[in-house]
Amino acid sequence: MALHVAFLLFAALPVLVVSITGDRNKIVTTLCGVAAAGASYAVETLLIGGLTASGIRISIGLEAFVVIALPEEGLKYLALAVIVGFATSGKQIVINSVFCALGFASAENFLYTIGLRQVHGTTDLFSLLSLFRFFMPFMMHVAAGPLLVSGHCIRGWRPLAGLALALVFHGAYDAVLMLSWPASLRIAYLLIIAGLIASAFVYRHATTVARD
Amino acid sequence: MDTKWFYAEGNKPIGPISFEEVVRLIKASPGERHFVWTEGMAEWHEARTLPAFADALRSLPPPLTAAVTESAGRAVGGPSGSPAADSRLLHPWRRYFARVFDVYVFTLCGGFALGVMVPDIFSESSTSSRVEDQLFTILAFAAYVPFEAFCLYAFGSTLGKTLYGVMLHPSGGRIVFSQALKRSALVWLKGWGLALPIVSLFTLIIAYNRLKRNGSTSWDDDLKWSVAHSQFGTSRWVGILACWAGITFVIVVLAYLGKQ
Repeated sequence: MALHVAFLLFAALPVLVVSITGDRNKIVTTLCGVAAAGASYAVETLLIGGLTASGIRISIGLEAFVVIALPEEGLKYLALAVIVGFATSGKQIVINSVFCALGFASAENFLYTIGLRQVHGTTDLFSLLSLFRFFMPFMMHVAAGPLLVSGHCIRGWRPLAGLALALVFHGAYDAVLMLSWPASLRIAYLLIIAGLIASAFVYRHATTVARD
Repeated sequence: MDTKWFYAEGNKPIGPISFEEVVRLIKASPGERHFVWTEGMAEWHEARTLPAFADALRSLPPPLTAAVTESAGRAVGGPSGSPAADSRLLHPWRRYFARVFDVYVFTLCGGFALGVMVPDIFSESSTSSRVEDQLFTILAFAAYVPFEAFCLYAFGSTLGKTLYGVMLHPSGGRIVFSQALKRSALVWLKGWGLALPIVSLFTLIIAYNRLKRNGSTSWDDDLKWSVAHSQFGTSRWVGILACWAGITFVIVVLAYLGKQ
């Protein structure tokens, strides 16, 4: 039980740390990410149910890009556009996207930790998978954050281009893992590293290009 | 311009005040560093680095560095050996722990990546595990050099520096990758002694004494960078402890899983 609680606290750590900073913008944005995570599970469940009921075969591609990536990135984008509002400075947009992703990933890990314990109990496998979620899916979400808003930060891009980029990145990551190739983990981690580097350049670009 | 600003007077924020009032306060103390904040900014920024203040502060000289004030003091017959900066503003331990935190996080994430890419690298071998651990530490510090340079180039800071409120200011205003790489390499060499056992102890002590005496480290003097520190309140303390608790938890779990 203590181990389970420790992992739950660890999963929620980013949200807890942001909360005590007292920065209203960061707290609101992070909580929007948390809300987006909750909403995305409902949407994904509905999608799976709807597709199954209508007899459509849920291929790996359909599941990775449409069932998982689209609701998750779409709801994060919606949270940023509607609730947080796109800030006037490119740098602030990218910062908001990262904190939204932090909240989303923390909530996701929190819920998965509960689910993992129900399946595995507090065994070594529970610990391994809980930590795995921090080093891979969490980092994947953080990498996708700036990609999601890159369309707003890079001159000449359209806003939805960023959403499309994040969809492709997230879908490819999930598809690679679902395919269960021998090298799936390596390819997925390489994707994460590439996403993090691309996101760093988005941030760098957003701070050097003046927005209108 | 009707945007309201906050101006940092020592550790106290003054505001909201008008842009003109901020410029007046800055012009009253030329040669010093002035930090401002307005809505939409994630953190305090030095006024002269902001485009909004570029025109208004064009005629003012840049802030005096510790090296300049020390040289000026000697040139006019000032006392030799007098401290070039207020030692209360130096915070060597914050800088030290910020870097240690960064290296820990980098090592954990990098180690995980290595384990995924090349699983055999962590297989049991017949050599002493202490030797392997020490080699891994040395390599981790070396590998951290380009990673830190990239973070400074891309974000202007690192996770540990942000957590501990340590801000780097290059001489040219904006961090260029080559300069960041040079600085990181110099810190690794002169500050951490290449992370070699015993050697690093001496280099750290020498760097600490130099910082206390001169107000800056040798690598910052070489590259003409300056280091500032933001306020250290209760919330920052709690955040730091929480992050260290998280890292400790990960290490303990990994160690336990490794023994199974």
